[in-house]
Amino acid sequence: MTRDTDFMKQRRICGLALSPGGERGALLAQQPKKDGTGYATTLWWEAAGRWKQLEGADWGSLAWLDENTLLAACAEDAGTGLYTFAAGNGAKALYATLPYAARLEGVLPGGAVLSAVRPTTEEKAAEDGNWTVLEEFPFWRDGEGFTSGMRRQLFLCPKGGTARRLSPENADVCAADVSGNQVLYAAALPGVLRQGGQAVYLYDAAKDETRPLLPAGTWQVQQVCLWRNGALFAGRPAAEGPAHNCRFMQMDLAGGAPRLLAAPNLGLGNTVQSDCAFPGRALAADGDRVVFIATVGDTSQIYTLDAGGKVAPLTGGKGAVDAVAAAGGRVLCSALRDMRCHEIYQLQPNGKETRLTRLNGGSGLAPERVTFTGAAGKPLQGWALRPAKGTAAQSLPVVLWLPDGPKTCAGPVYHHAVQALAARGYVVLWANVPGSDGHGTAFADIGGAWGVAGYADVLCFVNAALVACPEADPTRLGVVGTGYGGYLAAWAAGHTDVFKAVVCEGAITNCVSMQATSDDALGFARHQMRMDAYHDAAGLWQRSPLKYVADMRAPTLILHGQEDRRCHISQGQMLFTALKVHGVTARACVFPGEGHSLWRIGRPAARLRRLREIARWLDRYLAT
Amino acid sequence: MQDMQALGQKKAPVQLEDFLGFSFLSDLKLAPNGDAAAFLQHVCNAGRDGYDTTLWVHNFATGTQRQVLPTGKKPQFCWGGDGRLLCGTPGATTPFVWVNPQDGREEKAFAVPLRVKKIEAVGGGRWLVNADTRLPAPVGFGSDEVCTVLEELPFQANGQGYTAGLRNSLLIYDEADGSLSQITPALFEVVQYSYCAAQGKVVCCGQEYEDVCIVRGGIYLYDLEKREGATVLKKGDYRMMFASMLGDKVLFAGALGRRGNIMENSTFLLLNAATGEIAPWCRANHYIHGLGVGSDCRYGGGTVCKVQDGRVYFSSAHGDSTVLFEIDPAGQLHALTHLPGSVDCFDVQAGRIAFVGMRGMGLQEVYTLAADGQESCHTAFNKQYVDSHVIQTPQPCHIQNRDGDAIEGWVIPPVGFDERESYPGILNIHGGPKGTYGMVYYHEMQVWAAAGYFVFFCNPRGSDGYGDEFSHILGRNGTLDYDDIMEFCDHVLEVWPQIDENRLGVTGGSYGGFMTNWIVGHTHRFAAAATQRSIGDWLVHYADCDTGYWVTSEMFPPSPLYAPAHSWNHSPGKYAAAITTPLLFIHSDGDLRCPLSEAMAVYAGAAGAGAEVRMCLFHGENHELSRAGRPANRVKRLSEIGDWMDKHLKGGAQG
Repeated sequence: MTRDTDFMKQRRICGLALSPGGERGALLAQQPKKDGTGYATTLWWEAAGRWKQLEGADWGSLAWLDENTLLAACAEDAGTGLYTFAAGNGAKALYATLPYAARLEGVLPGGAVLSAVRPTTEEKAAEDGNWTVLEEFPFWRDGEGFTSGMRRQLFLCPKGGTARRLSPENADVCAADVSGNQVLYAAALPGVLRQGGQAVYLYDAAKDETRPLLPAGTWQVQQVCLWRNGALFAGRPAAEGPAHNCRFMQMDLAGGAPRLLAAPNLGLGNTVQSDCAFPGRALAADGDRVVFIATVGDTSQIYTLDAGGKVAPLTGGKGAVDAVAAAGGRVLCSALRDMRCHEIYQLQPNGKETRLTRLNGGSGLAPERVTFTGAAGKPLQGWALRPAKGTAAQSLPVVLWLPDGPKTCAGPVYHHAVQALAARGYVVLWANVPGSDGHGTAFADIGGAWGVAGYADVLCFVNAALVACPEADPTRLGVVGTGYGGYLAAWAAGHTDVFKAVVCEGAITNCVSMQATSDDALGFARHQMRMDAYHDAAGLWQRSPLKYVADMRAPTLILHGQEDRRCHISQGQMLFTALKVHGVTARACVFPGEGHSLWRIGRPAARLRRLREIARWLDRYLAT
Repeated sequence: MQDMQALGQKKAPVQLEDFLGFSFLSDLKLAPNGDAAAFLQHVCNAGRDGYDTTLWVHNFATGTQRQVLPTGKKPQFCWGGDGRLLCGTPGATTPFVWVNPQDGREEKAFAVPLRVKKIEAVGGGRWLVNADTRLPAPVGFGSDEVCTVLEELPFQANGQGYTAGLRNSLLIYDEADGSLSQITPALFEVVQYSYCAAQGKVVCCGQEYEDVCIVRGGIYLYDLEKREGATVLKKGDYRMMFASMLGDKVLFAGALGRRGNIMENSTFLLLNAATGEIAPWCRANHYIHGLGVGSDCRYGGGTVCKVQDGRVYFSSAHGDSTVLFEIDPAGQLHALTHLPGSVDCFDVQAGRIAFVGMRGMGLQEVYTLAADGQESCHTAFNKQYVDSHVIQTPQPCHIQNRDGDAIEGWVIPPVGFDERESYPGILNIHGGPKGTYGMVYYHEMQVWAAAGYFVFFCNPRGSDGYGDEFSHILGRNGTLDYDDIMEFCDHVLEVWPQIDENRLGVTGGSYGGFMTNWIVGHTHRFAAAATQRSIGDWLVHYADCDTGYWVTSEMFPPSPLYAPAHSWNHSPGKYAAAITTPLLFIHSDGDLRCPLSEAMAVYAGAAGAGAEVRMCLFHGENHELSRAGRPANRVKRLSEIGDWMDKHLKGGAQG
């Protein structure tokens, strides 16, 4: 049975790279430190067909310098240290150091390509922590802190030398691909408002020249790739919201307008939610084809895209693929398969996957599929994790698990917190309802209809699951939601009495102030709400769970990271105030220093406390 | 000033960083025989970016002044019966020493195992101690470094952070056995209390609460002799500002807060604790424990209301000054001070009245008030500075508004004013809204006047010091007060044609920040604005600020949750997309009175509308940045505002 501390021993892959010829793989594995204060990240590589750990525990990124030399970046007190490891004897050598935190993006003949978030003004650079000057909006980003006047820039750092900036100073780089003599990258060029589409640039090391390929403003670029002597990017027109699946666009390196290669209506990258996973590179060139990860149904898979624009699935397993690397005809991925934690899998030509690593032992209890009829009358899919199938009817408490979103996916993967709740005797339920990823753009688009679209389907699912799981006690039903899921949980608390215990984590409760405080404020108003406070505050209030606080009865646990910049701490505090004023049993747990993704990447001690708070709240109010 | 100039002694202009050398005085306490006053002097320490505090004793008989204890952290102190001072430095425990102010000799006294906020001798080796106590940890897990647990409302307090699970309590420390026993009930939150020696009683305003602390409290009366206490007035009716004994009755200053005016002036009432009968005693129509006349040159507090020998003394805003008042045994109110300026804290003992005050546009000094109303100044902490600098006296510029109310306002002309020249102007707006401006030294205004700005400010409806009717604007915010301020601006421009109407700036903090936000959303007449610790959305103020859930519930009844249109109509956020004025935000991320979350409604709207915005967000500071922030941050704040005004009103020329 899963214990609440099990995640402390679990590793997850947070970096994956194949040598240029595909001979050798390397990975970064992250594991909670015993004292709960953070994570150790270790470096591994393939040697003679086996994965071997290299020295050090603070690695941050990696890239292959050549077929026999691995380059890795390590967080050091004074900034970043770059080290090489030579195949054969495994000798470690200092390559270069940078006086700030930087991430390896790839390698050019002239040195390592890194990205780093840097100040763009002298005033910004001189700030010493007593104050921060902000001149943009939004001015912060969850997990990163204040971003006003800060840009992720690309640097070229030669061996033993100092780094020099490659990207324009004001460009905020969001995706890069390094290949041969070239760097292709996409970057936003924000004005006061941090919105609008990205520009795409090509840096040619042979000529030491940077060329704009695509002007900013028209495309939201998610991934870029140097491929077949041209440029490929995955993105969507800037006017479209995040519900819209991306298109694959091709460009000549000489310039010209982008041409549509494929529009497969697939959600790029993995969105299947797990607290044991870590997202990585979702797209890679592999000779004449491109391999990419897409979320389909309730799993994520690897697909191929060929020069003719044909898209075909390469894998078909259950679970989630987080990162993909391809070189020399070899394709590796980090994935959650077979209810296991993260491992590396290699794709065989026949489409089969071979597990290459044993970073983690054991596997979790597998959920059962629950098919139900959604509010619109169409069949939808959900899952039930049943720890004691076959026990007496209506004998077990039930938890509806609502992940963050809306455009994410709830699938049959190992999720430690869910497994731990099941181990405590809870039947845990989750489902993909309108708004979710994996079913195309139209299904994912609930803009302007929060609290309506998706919410009714959740209730349909619960009813169906209670029938499918006779051991579940419908009178002992709780709900746990995070982010958008927290919004739904709070919304449910104000609209139905079926939930006897409610947990709202990093929840959105006031849509009016959400659009002024969130790091996604502009997108939230434009795409999620389709209205803004300056023209229709009443409409936003209508969509706000807080409006319905007078109808909330269920004991509510509020969990919030104090540094949550997505759903600001005020969102949780406002719900707490309103519940207390209305005499509803409420408890708020504020986690100092934690952001919106506390549940996934928070300090281990905070994650453990969170899980224990949830379990105790459910135990207390769902006891027989 | 002219005399000095005639003597050829040139005065220096006021400069931004000058406040680093000012002395701020507080916590004046007279010895029981009235012969000496102990008080604290606070001075910025730029080196360690904090404040140094010195305890002084002034002997009125000899006219001498002596420092007691080395300069350092702010101590807690009180007079013992023998003319010695008991002094302690609060920490996790508070060790006390006896100090003889005659010779400075120290003697170890005792240690109280709490962070003491106030201590008084109650006789027999017993001490009345005020300190925070922590309730038993919540069921399950309590707060630790990983997680802060909140189960009560309020859950935070500006300057303190998260407070759920804490109570402001009273305890008795017994020297004899070192015992500490709490005299207020475990769940009781003390708002204000008085030790009444003659009656052997402690009178506490406050309430017991388990989940939610409400604004209208009750009275708990503790008998020191019998060692027992009882609630003598249930919570729920009065907003309590003060309570003490008056003879055998309980005297309290309470406000019913009718018609949504939760900031209503208190009435003094007498309560018969035995029968529960309440009778009005004096309708003073002044705000007790209000803000007084505003200034950025004060640090620390002291007594502002006290019963002594059958009389009540209190200081409160009155017109352009903070005045010391007395209520005589017949319940009649008299003003005791008559000079313009402010009485910031005072004490009365053995017939002597002493106070810390600001007089003659100077900084704080210690004064005594004779029976004939004559004031004498006894200290010269700031005299040299005041004498040697050009301090501009505000020129009255009062108006009658469209509703016939008299609105008091003032204009500070720029230093070196030449009536043939044209100058930029800065409109300054006070907070509260029940704050007030008056005839006192206000450093930021003098800095701007020295930099060549006209500075003008007024007390619009909502301000303190002009009676209840005048101050009641809650729920109508942004209407009556905005109109008054605009009429005042019009009048100032008429009276002073040297002010360039195209080079006007506006600034204000807290409610003054609300008004700054509101103004730029409603008029384009200002070319620059600096909004400080501002209010932007009353619904967020309701649910995310320390006192919001009761303040705004009175403003927008039953609460903004049920009156979202009403509260939004009066929120600057609603009008933020109309802002074109370049807008500087000064905010502290630890401000729990006006949290950043609500100012962002205005920031986001103005930025989205294309207005030039800039925010200087201070870390680890709270709502008191301009008055009690770290010195370097106070310098930065004032530089930011000055630079912003210079950029937009002087074409970038640095003053």
